[in-house]
Amino acid sequence: MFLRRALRYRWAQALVLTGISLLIGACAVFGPWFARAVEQTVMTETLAGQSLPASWLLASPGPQVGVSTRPEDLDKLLPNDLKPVFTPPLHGIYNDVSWSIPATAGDPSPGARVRWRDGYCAQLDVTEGRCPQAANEVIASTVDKTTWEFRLGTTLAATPSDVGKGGGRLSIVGFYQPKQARGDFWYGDYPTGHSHTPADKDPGAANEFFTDSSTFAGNKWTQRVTSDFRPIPGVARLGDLDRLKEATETVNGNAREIGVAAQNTSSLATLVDQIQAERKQATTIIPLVMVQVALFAVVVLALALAAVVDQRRPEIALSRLRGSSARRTQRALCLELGLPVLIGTLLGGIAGFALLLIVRATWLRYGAPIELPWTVPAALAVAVVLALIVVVLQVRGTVRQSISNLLRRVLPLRRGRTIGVADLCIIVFAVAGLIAALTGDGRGPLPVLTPALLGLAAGLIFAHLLLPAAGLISRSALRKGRLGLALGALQISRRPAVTRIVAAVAVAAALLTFAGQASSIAATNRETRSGYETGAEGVLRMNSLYLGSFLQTVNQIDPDRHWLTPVVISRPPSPDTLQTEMIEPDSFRRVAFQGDKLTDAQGWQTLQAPSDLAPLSFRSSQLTATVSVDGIKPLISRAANGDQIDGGTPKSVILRANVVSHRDGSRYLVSFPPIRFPSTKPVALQADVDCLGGCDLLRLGIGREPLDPTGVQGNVVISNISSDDHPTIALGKAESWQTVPQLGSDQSSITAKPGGALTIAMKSFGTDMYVQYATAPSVVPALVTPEYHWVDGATTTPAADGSPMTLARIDRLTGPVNRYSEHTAVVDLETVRRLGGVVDEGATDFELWLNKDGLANVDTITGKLAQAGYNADLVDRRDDRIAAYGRSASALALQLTPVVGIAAWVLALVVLLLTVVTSWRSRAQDYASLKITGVPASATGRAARWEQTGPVALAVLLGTFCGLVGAHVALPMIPLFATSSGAVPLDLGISWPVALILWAGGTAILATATLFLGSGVNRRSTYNRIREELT
Amino acid sequence: MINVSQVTVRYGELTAVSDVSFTVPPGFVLAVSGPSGAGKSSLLWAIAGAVPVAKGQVEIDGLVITDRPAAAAHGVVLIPQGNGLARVLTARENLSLPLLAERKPSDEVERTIEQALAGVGLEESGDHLVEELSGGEQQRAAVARGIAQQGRVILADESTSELDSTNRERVLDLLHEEARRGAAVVIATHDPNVADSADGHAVMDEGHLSWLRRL
Amino acid sequence: MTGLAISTTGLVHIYRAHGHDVAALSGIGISVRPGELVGLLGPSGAGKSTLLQLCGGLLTPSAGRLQVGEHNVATMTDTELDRMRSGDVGIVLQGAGRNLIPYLTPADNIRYAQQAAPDERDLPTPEAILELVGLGNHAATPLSQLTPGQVQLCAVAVGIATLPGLLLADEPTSQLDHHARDEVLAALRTINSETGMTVLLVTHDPEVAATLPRTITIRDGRIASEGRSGEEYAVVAVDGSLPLPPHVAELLPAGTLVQVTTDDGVIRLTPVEQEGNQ
Repeated sequence: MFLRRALRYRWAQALVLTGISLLIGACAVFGPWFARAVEQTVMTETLAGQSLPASWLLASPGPQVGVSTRPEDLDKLLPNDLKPVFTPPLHGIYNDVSWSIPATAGDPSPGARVRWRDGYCAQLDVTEGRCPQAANEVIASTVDKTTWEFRLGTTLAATPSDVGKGGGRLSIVGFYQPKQARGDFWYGDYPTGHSHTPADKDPGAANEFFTDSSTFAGNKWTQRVTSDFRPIPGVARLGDLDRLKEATETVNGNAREIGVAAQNTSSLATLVDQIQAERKQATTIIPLVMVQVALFAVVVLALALAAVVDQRRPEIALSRLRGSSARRTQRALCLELGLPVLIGTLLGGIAGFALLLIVRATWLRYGAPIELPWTVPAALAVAVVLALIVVVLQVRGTVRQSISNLLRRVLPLRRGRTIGVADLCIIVFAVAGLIAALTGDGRGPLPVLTPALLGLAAGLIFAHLLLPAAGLISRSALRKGRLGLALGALQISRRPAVTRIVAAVAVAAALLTFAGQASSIAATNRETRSGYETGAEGVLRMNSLYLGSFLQTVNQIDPDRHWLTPVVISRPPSPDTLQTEMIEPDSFRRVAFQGDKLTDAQGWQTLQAPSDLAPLSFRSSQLTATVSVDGIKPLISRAANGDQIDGGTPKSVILRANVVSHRDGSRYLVSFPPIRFPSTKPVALQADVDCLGGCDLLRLGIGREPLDPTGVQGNVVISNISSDDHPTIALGKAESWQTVPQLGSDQSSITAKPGGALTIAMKSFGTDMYVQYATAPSVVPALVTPEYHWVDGATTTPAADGSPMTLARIDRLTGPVNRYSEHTAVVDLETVRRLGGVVDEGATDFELWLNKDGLANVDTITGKLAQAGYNADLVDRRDDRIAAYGRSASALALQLTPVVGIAAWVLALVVLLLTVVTSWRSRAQDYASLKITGVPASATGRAARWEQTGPVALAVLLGTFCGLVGAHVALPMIPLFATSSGAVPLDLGISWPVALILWAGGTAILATATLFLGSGVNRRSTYNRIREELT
Repeated sequence: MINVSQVTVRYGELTAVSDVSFTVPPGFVLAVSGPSGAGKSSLLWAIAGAVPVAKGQVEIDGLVITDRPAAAAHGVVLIPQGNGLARVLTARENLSLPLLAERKPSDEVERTIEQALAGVGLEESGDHLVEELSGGEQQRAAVARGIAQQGRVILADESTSELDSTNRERVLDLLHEEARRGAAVVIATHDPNVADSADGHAVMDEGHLSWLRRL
Repeated sequence: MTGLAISTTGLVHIYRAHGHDVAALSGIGISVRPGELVGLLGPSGAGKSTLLQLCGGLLTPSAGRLQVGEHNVATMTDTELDRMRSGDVGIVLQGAGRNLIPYLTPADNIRYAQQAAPDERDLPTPEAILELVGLGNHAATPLSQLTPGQVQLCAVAVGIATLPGLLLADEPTSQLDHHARDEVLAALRTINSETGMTVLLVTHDPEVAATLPRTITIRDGRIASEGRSGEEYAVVAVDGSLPLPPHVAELLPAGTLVQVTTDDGVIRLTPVEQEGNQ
């Protein structure tokens, strides 16, 4: 009875209980809801951001005889149940042709793509003429107008490049510019960017010609049909993921079964895997973080209830006194206190929903629909039950005390060293949880609870140690006459409430510190990983045929390498073998992301091309070698089973050379006339070389005439090699000529020896063998990514021309390899340049990596590159990757951490305020009773401020420490990225600035609060307080 | 010497003490009796400086009393009604802290405290927390606290109301002892026996003082 | 309604304080008849409040028998004690405010106190109870507006809310001025005479004691004396010991050898002189 009056009389307390319960309800509801929303957002944003890999690109294969497929036929491959989540299919027909202008036939025929796409005309700005309306009419790009000097009405003869016959004449009826050169409409088949004349450093081609679909009627063009569509972000939802993956994986098999000749190119299955991995991040991190806050709030609720119930002790005593049984009294009080808690928790559910709406609009950018996952009401129910259990427990604990105990006016002040049973239980539980977390296999939720558990255990233990310590401090302060400190310390040691404050503050500080560390470490790791994955701040990519002219252009644009560093990538034919990343070490160290961390000083030294040996350059149209042989003997070769193979007598050897042309970097074979056996005198051998533009003598070697495979051994003594400009080309020392390793075991061998200008000692069974001038080492030193299975002496990587270079691994790799972090060998670009060779254009990428300044001037750089004939695209930016990672599930989830930190502090302040509110009267009365005897207000003021500031400041320090330890333990368990890149290590070291700022800030805030509150209590301890009864 | 001249004490609208004047020379004990709410406590608090006077002044041995800290430093001891002890402290600490605040040397403080506690019969209970003492023991501890301060003026407000006759005698003896030491003592009481033992007996009724037996 | 009788034999209560046991009561034997108005006197710490709490079932005696009406308090369970307090025994705690719920009016306070009473009881209305103590006009006055004396009367009213057979009142008149004190005593007398309720009240005020028809003085946990209408009498205890009044005890310090002689119905105590004994 009298419930309403009771609530109204103590409305402030009811409000506090409601407030704390609100927080519990909000956390319980927000956690699963936010997690679900993040999952949906990740899916939406992944699909939106990677719309091209997510697309289904259905295309019929190459030339088909007799079968004519229509684009509509391909649509059958999309299962009906998935049709609603995909865009309507975009049909197209195309083929690649080589064309020529009949009037100038005979010139090389460039290539181009002739295409029709449904609705293409609306995507084009027609600058001249019109869109095609009849068969064999095409519209060409305005760029091609300039490049190839097209005009309206120009006729082209076009032949499909795959079969070489058929085709027809096409006439140009208009010129276009695409409205969006790289828009989604094109599904990756961009109409422009292909136009180059043959004179360019890139092979010549034209931009796409668009035509009317009627052109492809009939089978003259051996066309391919396409149908493209993509999942609609925001319509395709989490529930569709499995189905999407399954459909993508089975579509090609289905095509065969249904008899539709088509292939799907899509990375949707991989994307789905990526999304699923990210979902796991969200569902791991978010609920755990919210659970910690919710649990903390439950603890604070328990403390608040303890204080509130304690205040009602006289009333409970009265109720018992008047004969109500303990159970009856308990029921009434549970009702009185349970009502605000219940209302608060339910309101918290609504608050959680409101918070979700806000977060959905801001962080998540509406990426998630408004839906109610079943976990939300379940969590709310659990929260309600938990909160009410706490109410019952706290009420029960007090109501069941004996009446005489309840009648005591004041809380019994504990002077003993005994730890209460409750505190002991909590400490044991927390330590047990910690041990489980630390020794477990690192999975499961416990590790993430480490900071809270650690804070709790350490806080409580410290608090209980504080009590006797304060007693000692007070005694020594009394002796020294420091009254304020003595009184403050005395009160600490006598009021057990300080244990609550210390524990609560320690937990809050631990949570906040952990939150700060998680957030900042995650951000740092995202930035580092983005840096390594991009390579530098930005990456420009272009095509080139000539290494030399590429480097020349780069030197013109940025000779001092303030802005960029060139990187050339050469890819092997087989995807499992090493690819080559050729860098310019000096500028790489300065420009690439943490480039100097790639290796140490010794490593850089070893990596660099020899600087002490200049290439052997000459300018000539011929080379004359004065050669003699000695010690010629036939060699018996042994078959695999040991049998001798009898050959006969060797007839001759041929001196060969490799020269590298300065003009275009290609490497030529020079063969001198054969040296016939027997030969006793030195002979002068002359060979023609195309070196009027300058060449480097790279290799000297031995070969045999085709019909002379008999083994021969001996020495070929070169006394002189002369060119037009050098009567004697200084061949240097014999050590400077290194054997070029041979792949395949033939029992041949070749070495350089001193003697004459150079002596070659050989054992030849027929294959060509070379020694190479050490200006380009024959075994190239390389830094190799560690996961690659390295075989000494047998591991090779392609040079710019694709030929294999044998590598010597430098075991000094101290950091991940930028941008190409797996099966990559890093070599010096200069070494490869000296080796010469024609660039394998399809397998080689030319990149310019930009630093911040370079990125800021990227337009200047691309402009200058265009002037030089290079078409460079900015393909990657570090900031874009950082932003993308910032939208990953773990990043979104970790955005919670500041919220967590603030919530934790709010709760700690609530505990502080609660303790002050429940104890201030008795403290004020005590101070008043001292003041009235003449103890100065300054002394009591100091005591009032010390009493809470001291323990609180220490608790913040302790909690911060626990948070750091907790972060150290728990962070390795939190998935910061969807995929663990083995190459880029995670840096989980403590971020000291963040820790310090949070510690200092927290201490400042709480200390201000306690100082303020302490002064308030002192101010309120007026003399007439001693006349008050404590109620 | 306590010099109260035309002192009026008001709490808002209510006049607790109305135009009271008297003098208590050192060595004398004045008892002030009267019903509850007559203004005895307010009068004593005004003399102690714990409550401001609206009119008139209190002067003690040359110092005009304006605030409590100055009065306490000057030796005006107040033993409040309802004991006025600090609950978080032990009996001994309640006695020692005010003395230490005056920066008296600690061994002297110890001696004084032991004497005072022995005087009220609490020598064994010195280290008990105040709330562990019974009501009468608390009152005696308050008296001991006042005695220990060895003031020149002792104002005892209903300091025997919880005590049985033995202890009451004890306390009165101590107060008289203080008077003999040279302090001026004022006791507020509604116990007629206590009033009889004093040197002078005044009555307060609704703020006005009248004399039953002049000093 | 008949008041309850109280009867104790060898009542002992020991509690633990500061590491050693303190005997609050060491062998109390009293007998209160139904409808008596008795005062418990004694110095502070003598055990008066302890005895009161024992009678109310708030404490369990360490030894001895305690009978309150039909109830053998020493052996009752908690439920039975609750039941006893819900209708048979009313308690007024020391400090009037502690007996009252601060946000309820006097009438509501009485209702609150009545809510646990056994259903078969015929309970008087709150107004009737308030009439009985003299607060009839203040049934709905907020507690903050009552004078201290009226608050005490309200506390007493709440104590008798269920018209119990026994009323235990702890210091109902301390901190009150004469007028209020007299009011409260008058109310108690009225209750005692009009309802036949046994009233046991604790006081240390000799003036109050003088108004009571019977007083029991407790000293050091034992019955020291009894008073009837102002006259003090020493009471022979069950074990035959006789506590001496204070002025006699001064003459006969502990350990004194005394010759006890009877002389025509008068008992004479003659101390024997010994060395070092004065």
